[in-house]
Amino acid sequence: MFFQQLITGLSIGGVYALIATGYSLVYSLLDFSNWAHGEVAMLGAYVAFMAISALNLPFLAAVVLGIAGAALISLFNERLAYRRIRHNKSPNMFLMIAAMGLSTTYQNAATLVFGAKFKQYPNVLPISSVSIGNLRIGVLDLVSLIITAVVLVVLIIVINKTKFGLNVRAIACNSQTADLLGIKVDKCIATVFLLAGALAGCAGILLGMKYNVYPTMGNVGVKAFIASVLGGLGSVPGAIVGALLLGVIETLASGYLSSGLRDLISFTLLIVILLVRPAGLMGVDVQEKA
Amino acid sequence: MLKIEGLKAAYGGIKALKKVDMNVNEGEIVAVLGANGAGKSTLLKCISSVMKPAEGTITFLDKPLPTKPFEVVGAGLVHVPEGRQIFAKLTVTENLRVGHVLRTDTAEIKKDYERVFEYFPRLKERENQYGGLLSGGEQQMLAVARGIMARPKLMMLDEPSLGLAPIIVDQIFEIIQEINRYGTSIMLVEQNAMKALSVCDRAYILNVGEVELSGTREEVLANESLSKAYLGD
Repeated sequence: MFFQQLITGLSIGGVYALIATGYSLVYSLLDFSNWAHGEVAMLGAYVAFMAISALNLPFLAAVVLGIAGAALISLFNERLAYRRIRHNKSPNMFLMIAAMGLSTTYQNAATLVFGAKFKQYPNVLPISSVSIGNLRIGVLDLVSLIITAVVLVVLIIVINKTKFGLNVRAIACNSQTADLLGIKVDKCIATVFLLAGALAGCAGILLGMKYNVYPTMGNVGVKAFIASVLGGLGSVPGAIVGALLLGVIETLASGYLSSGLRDLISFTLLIVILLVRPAGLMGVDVQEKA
Repeated sequence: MLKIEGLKAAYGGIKALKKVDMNVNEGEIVAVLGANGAGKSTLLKCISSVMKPAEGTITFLDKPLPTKPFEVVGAGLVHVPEGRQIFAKLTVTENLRVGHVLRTDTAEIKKDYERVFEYFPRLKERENQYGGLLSGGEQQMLAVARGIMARPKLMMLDEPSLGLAPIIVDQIFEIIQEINRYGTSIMLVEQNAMKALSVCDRAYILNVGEVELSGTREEVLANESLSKAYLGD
């Protein structure tokens, strides 16, 4: 029972991690909470759904389209709002307010266009579970876990081993000097938004497969926020660790206590971390949390 | 190689530069001196295109200066900023890698690593340490080394002596002369006028946004009112 719960927890935590890493990357570069990030995941899930139901595309093609759509929407947010605010040298608070505006707009637009009803992907994976020893693990959980593990390992390699990753880390350290030394800061930031959007799209589709697709599913962004705070805002490895921990804690809480207590426990965790260890588990120094 | 004509710049309504003319010739070390608020850093910001001047022209190698910082670096003009500004959470090597971000000549980059570690053996010893863990002197060495990695034609140094012990300042200035002998022109912005005048070919004195005095090192040193105001005797 415990190990089954653990696998389920890691699987949902992995989906949180896909959102939390993108959120954390943006936070590390621009020092603001991108509250529209969850909505990017939601829109990715809808793009994939529409590709199946309206265009009759095969599932895998729809997934690709959904991920690409989410990446482009994320880039669109940067181009439409965030870049202008940065270039105007406005306070970071403006970025966060713009993100909130985008978030609300997307949620309501989705309700208007797609309706508030829950949509379901066709069943491409067997709903059955596989037995390993005396463990019974859902096929979807297993697939989700494998996909997120691969994506996150690739992400870590990109951040730590590539020239692009070096540029991103340099901008996160000191964007003015990065600019002065010849790093194309705007281009790098745009690429990060594309990347974060693609990760969120991937997460949105996985969530849609596990549960449903609906206009407020982007609220999962709050979980990504909690995960990032837990791991240390702005740290990518921190976001992954925080997300996996949160997934496991939530699953164990629903399994052993009550599923109604799940969110209560997540938010209590957030408050405790903010009070006791505001730098998070992987401690990046913090001046401002928003 | 660098020619500045009628440069004016302001922060909001406050004029920081009121018509500055200046030039740097190939192979020179030119010092720009002046007290706090004289407009030295503003001048450098305009040259590296992180700030837009209100009026005036800047040409570099007979071409108008590009308008984006990375284009300026690409044209061969690098700015070593005031206060070091090294990347605290990147290792020494990673800091240097950012220095040559725009270059693709792998073999030559390798030579520059060797050159930099020859100038600053301390950096070689600390290759894998985080920039933030270095001492002030080592951070300044890293900032200069990072500038060298861009292999600039003209290197602008903003207050390289700031907050450093005299013996470290001597070391840094020796390396600056070494870099110059290698063929890089230098524009040296300093408050430490005496030190800067000991290494430069020519100097400009800025005072509240205007060039108050300019000339060869000897001419500037011979000027009495200057000695009183800036050199403290």
